[in-house]
Amino acid sequence: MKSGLWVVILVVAGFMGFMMGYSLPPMLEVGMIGGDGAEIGIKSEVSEDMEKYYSDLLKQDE
Amino acid sequence: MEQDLRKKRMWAYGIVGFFALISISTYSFNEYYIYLSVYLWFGFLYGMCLQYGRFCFSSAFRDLFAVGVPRMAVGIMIATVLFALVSAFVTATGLSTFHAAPTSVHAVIAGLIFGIGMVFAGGCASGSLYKTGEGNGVALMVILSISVTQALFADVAGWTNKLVPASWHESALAKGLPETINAGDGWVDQYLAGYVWDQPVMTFASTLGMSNESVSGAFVGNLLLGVIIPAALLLVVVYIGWSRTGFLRKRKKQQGSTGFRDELAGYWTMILASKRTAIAGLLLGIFCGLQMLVTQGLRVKFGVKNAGTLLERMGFDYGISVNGTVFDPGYWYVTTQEAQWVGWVFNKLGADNMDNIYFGFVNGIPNPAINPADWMSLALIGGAAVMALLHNEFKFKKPTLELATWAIIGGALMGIGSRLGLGCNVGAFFVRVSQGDTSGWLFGLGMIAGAYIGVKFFNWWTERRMAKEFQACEL
Repeated sequence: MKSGLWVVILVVAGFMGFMMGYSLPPMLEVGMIGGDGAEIGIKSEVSEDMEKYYSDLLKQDE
Repeated sequence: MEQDLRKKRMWAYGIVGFFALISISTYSFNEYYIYLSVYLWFGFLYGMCLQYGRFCFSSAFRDLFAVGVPRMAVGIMIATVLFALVSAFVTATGLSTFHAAPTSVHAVIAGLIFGIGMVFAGGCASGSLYKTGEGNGVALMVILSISVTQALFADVAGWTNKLVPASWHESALAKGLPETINAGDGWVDQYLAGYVWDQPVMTFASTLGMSNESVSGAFVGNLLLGVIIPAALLLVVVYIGWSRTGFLRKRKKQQGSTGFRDELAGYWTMILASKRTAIAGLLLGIFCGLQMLVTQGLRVKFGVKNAGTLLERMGFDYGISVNGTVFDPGYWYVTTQEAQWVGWVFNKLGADNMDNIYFGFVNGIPNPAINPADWMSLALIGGAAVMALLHNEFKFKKPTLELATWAIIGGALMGIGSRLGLGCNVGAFFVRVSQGDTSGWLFGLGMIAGAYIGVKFFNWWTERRMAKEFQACEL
């Protein structure tokens, strides 16, 4: 029984290790981990003019 | 005997191999499937832990109230504290995917109905899953009953609209939900949008003016004040009510007299007596925390906030909510995915159930074959089966008519309780309490009261039946 359980644990650990390795680098990259409290999240490339355009659109709707 | 064990071990390997094959083949087909594989492997681990720790709330309360054995109830409380400890770390690092639920008396009522149901059924939502993995047919019937009841209850309309207070109806309509969602029709819709959503969302940290993500909020507000102190007090009640007398009697025989030190020793002995359930709780906590971490990482990597976006990118747009979302908690959850797969079946059979809030606005009803949370539940059953097979505890048990009837009644009550409380003993109690959500304790209090009522009813029922049988024998 014990050897059987260890085989299962090894297989599961292998998949877990792969998934951890797959998901952690993006978090390090954007500063979610080890980012010294910097602002996190997906950055949008919207210029100030564009932001103003959209906020004016909302005003027109109101 | 030896051959039987070998056969069981081969079956266990076969299950693991099957899940490995699904993970590898789907990943090689499309990278996005790794998101579903995360649910799969964590579900598998939850199943192993549940089977190892015999993590069943129904058994715990039945043992406590019917035969006075507190071991498993204490184990679940310790498990909750250990889970909360891990959760505090995850929350303080800002990686938690948890969202607190509205707090009001509805959680107590939901817990009460759920508690009665789980005693009738002979297994809670999580217990029924791991017991199904052990080959228990009654547990499978409980799961089916919970699933069907939830899917029906979430979409119930017609005459039930007359039971809705006018204030709920008006409040639901005022929410301005999309046109495809008929918030003014259906009891659950109006209950959710017209009542539950108007209730405050609180954690112990937020009520004290602390942020959940701050170290003080996570560890002092949510962990210490929200979990450790209430759990310790509950354990004192259990000690005084069920454990103290026996322990002190033993001590008196050994030492002649007892004092406060003996009381502390008795309390500690009671806590240590449930090691297996506590270890399972700690592992569940660690795995839940890791699942949140991995899920967040994948969301960042793929630039999504919900699995619905990934499913759409993969070309699956059927059954996705009007918000573009599907049920994607990022941690351990049980009941919603059970409602979803039946909802999907009903939809395929022609039911128009995407106009309600539960399916159409929030969770969706994606095909179970690509539903992340369904992968988790199936793998959970698989994980429990592997553990049971390796420990020679797997056995097919066919349900008798009587047990099947109780399973259906109990499962139905659990299904209704789950939808009213927005979760089951896991989602509405275990996870919420551990994250410092105040509504978790309210659901828990209702659940304990419901379990007590359920046990008392069962005792009365059994005594009545036995009396009738004796009477028949005498005749």
